[in-house]
Amino acid sequence: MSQQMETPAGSSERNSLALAYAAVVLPGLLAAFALWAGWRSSGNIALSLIAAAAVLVIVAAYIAWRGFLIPNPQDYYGGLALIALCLFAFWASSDLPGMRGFSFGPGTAPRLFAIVLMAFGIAITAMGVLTNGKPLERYAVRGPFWITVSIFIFALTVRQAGLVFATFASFVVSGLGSAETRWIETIIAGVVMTAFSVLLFVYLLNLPFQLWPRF
Amino acid sequence: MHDLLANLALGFSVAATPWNLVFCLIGALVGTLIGVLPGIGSVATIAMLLPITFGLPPVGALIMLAGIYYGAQYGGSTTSILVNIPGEATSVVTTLDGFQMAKQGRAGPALSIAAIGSFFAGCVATVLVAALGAPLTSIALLFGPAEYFSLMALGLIFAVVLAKGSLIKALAMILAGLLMSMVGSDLETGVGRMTFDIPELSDGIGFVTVAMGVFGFAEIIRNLEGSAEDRSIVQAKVTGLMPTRKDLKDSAGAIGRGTIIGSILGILPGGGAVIASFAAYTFEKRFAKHPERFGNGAIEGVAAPESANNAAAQTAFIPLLTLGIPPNAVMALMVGAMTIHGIVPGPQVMTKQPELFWGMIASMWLGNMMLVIINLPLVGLWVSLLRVPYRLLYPAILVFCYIGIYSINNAPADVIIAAVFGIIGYWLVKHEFEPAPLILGFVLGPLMEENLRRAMLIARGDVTVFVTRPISGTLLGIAVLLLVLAGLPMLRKRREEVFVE
Repeated sequence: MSQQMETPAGSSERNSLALAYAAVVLPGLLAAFALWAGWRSSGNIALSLIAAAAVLVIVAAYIAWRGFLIPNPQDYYGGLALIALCLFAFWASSDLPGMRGFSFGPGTAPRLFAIVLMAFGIAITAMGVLTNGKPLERYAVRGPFWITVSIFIFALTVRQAGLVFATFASFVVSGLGSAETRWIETIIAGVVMTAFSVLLFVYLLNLPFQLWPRF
Repeated sequence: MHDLLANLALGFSVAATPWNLVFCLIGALVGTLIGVLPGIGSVATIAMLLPITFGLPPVGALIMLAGIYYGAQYGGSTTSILVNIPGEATSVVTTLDGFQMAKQGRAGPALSIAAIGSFFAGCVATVLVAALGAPLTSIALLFGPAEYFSLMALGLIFAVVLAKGSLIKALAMILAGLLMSMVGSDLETGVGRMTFDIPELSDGIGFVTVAMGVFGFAEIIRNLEGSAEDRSIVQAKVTGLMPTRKDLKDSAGAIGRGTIIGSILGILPGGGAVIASFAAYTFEKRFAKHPERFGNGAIEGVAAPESANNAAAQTAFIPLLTLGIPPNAVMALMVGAMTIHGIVPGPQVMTKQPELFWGMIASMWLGNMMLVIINLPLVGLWVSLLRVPYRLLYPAILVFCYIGIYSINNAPADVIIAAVFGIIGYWLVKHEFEPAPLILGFVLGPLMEENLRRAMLIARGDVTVFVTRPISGTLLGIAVLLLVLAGLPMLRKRREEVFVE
């Protein structure tokens, strides 16, 4: 994305502006078409919403891949994601009954909020092509990945393997997320941390945690 | 006036016995120590510590609980400032400027001003509760569903105004928060909404889970991106533990205004304290000479919301003691504790057990005082925690967060939900969406829906009720005005940009 931002202004500017307009109109039209087609063919609003969301994702991915010049990619993709979230919410709440007379049903408020959010999402997507902004930041992979792994280790082992194992393992694994980690130090700190949490939460606060593995 | 003094004297004669003072001190100390663990907010702290008060006589137990309550609350603010993890909804705003101050090496003054502001707010609000407790209750009674809905709408607009970046993105974040808060069982019909038949979702997503994810995990992930040098500069810069004379002068007004806003909004059950902290911050930013300082480490940005949330925490006792309505989760726990000691909160407490009622009010003040006594010396200790190398600090914070989230429901799935919110939070940062409005929308969502539904039902589907009822109309009017005021400079800027081109 970043090298695209440096395209010199000039003759290409009008061209890129046209592309930018296409970038906001195209996903909208395609999603609307998917919604309409799904509705016509199946009469199932949930299915057609999924189709529309899928179209949005595919179009966004295509645009990102081809590297269309989008003047404000942060807002553009942010807005698209919000629209997708709304479509998802519509789908997820499509089985809930709505208004009955003037009383709200369970599905009324979620859909109400989703519609308003959809409007904001469209506006933000439009801002993404109409205003200039910063290029997308690079996503880190290592930190998020290992922290997620560490969370899963804790969540999946704390019941069966107990607090001692879960705390120590998740502490050490989360250390993988940083290049600065020194292993001996981290392992010692992990032992100290485990002892401290066991002492504090189990012995002092009497929380009902499983300490050791259960067989 | 004479009554007031006599009543307060009675209260202090009950509360200020040496043993009670010791209980209060222990409560505040333990509350702070547990509350300061990242990932363990005030509700969790109080729930964990509740059992230690069971063996005490009723007055002693309540005084100790008051100590725990204030300690836990201050502990939550401490983590907001030091590691950007709010312990509860009311200290979300504190992260905005508090964490920035910590990054600039000014964690000490931020923590101190939070304690001082809280103490001042606590003193004022205690007198207010004692003097106006009963009459103030009538304010809460003026508020019907329509008024509550409008108040929450106003509260959400506060979150927009405090946002640093784009107005429309902040609005979108609020809506996203509202939408996410809809997950869980429907209040009236009990139908699972957007739960995908996952049992852990049928209770809704907890505040702690979202806050840990969006603030805690996301902040750590983002920090890991930066180089070690960036962070060590931050750590080396720690200067001065106590606020300077200039800091005190800057924040004096903010503390006063925060106290007033907090005292008024705290009386309203449900979201009052949360809205108070956002409102106080917005107010300061709106009327500051240099609003651009806010969000970059302005000490008023810590002083105002911290005073407001403590004042609100205090006046939140009013509906509890006079109507028996617990206005928030912490108060609901306090009701539980009182019931265990054979006290039924409600209007009768004041007349039937005056020594208990006034003793409790006096103990609030004592709790606040203990907080200052304990925390001003501890500030140095908390700040020195920042000197722990980040490569060891972040796994420790993470593990405390896991245990904290897990301890709430003993549900491993909650920890995984928090992980999802961590990734969402990271994405939000990358796209310059701010998490604070999202959290506020998330906290106020269920209350807002409930009141909207009720108001519509009472008005028989007439939407104009929100505008025609005077209080509700005024609140909505202020909300629109604030939105316009916040929007105008942006439009002007946009125009200037166009002219430059």
